[in-house]
Amino acid sequence: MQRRQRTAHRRIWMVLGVVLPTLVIFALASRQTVPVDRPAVLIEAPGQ
Amino acid sequence: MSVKYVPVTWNRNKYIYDAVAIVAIVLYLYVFLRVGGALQDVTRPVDGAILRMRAFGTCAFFMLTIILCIGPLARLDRRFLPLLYNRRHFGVMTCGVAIMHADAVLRWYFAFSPVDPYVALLGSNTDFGQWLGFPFEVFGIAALLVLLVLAATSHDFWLSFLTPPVWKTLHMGIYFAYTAIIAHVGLGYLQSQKDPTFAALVGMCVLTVAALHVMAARREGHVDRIEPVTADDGFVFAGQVDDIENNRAIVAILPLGERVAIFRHDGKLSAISNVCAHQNGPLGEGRIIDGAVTCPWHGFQYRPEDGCAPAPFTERISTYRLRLDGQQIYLDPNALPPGTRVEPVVIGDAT
Repeated sequence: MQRRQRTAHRRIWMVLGVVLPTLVIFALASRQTVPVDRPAVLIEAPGQ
Repeated sequence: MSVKYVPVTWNRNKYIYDAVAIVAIVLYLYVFLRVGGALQDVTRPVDGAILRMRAFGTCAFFMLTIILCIGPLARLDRRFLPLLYNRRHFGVMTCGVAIMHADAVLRWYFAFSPVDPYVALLGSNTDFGQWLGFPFEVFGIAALLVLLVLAATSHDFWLSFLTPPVWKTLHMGIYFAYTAIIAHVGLGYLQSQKDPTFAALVGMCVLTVAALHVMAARREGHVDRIEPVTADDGFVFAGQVDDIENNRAIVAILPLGERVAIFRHDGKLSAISNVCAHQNGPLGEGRIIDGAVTCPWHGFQYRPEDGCAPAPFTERISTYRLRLDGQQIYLDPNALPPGTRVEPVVIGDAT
């Protein structure tokens, strides 16, 4: 591989090596979960 | 390496490679559709259409992850080189599976829209200003478009037409595609799925790909930072004769960072560029087979004494002059024009 290609690969992956895991962590951290203390909801059939 | 344009050059290794890949893909899809349906949450069952789009989507994601691991693995350990041999076919298959995922999505989520499915896909969610509920589909579309371009230009015809440096630069778009897919999965499926299994698998895949590439890059960077030792006559110290196994090479670093492969063959030494004319593969990591230097990536061959591919092929690479001082090898850092014959240095003779 030519040096400029090696350098390009190295620079790209020094950035992606940080960006990709951060993206996954951020996506997982931003997931919304149902509140554990939410009140129960009574579901009724339509028309009742 | 051909004297005329040949659409596809098949051989036994390619058949085996492709057959294993196709069997693995079919097996994955079969197991996902059969077992995945049985393992799902009984209170929130997923219908068959969604299960199919998930099967194709996850399959394409794992295939792309494997493809991205092959390059650095081959750099770090020669035993992975066979996986590199037909990686392009694997990439085209990945594009095919990704298309099936997109088709399954269009046929289910957007098929019942009063407008065209493509219009519905692009216009149903335009909340680009918010993080949660972001139209993650655009990342999938971007990744698919890149995969389509890479698959369409994967043949050696395009490699020859665009030249290896341009082709390699174009195909580095795979990194953009992978980033877009992570964003697509992270803002899409991971937001709705409560089962931590797939989230953990995505995290492991991303960490593995990133770690392998960073490790390979650091190793290459370390080699690039080695300062060559230059003698009074301008020749660069390249190593000791005993460092080279027969029919193998050592790689010397030139002052501007380019690399030269010095091969030992039949009691002689020859130096050629380390860069294969096909895809810039590292010739110095190959070996001499039937008297010709053979690239470890795709098997392109060159004569060590003149850098020419054996007839009837026409590829040529640069050659370099060598001299021996006892056991020490010195290399002229000035490349000779591709195909220039240089008389091999006989080991034991000072030239």
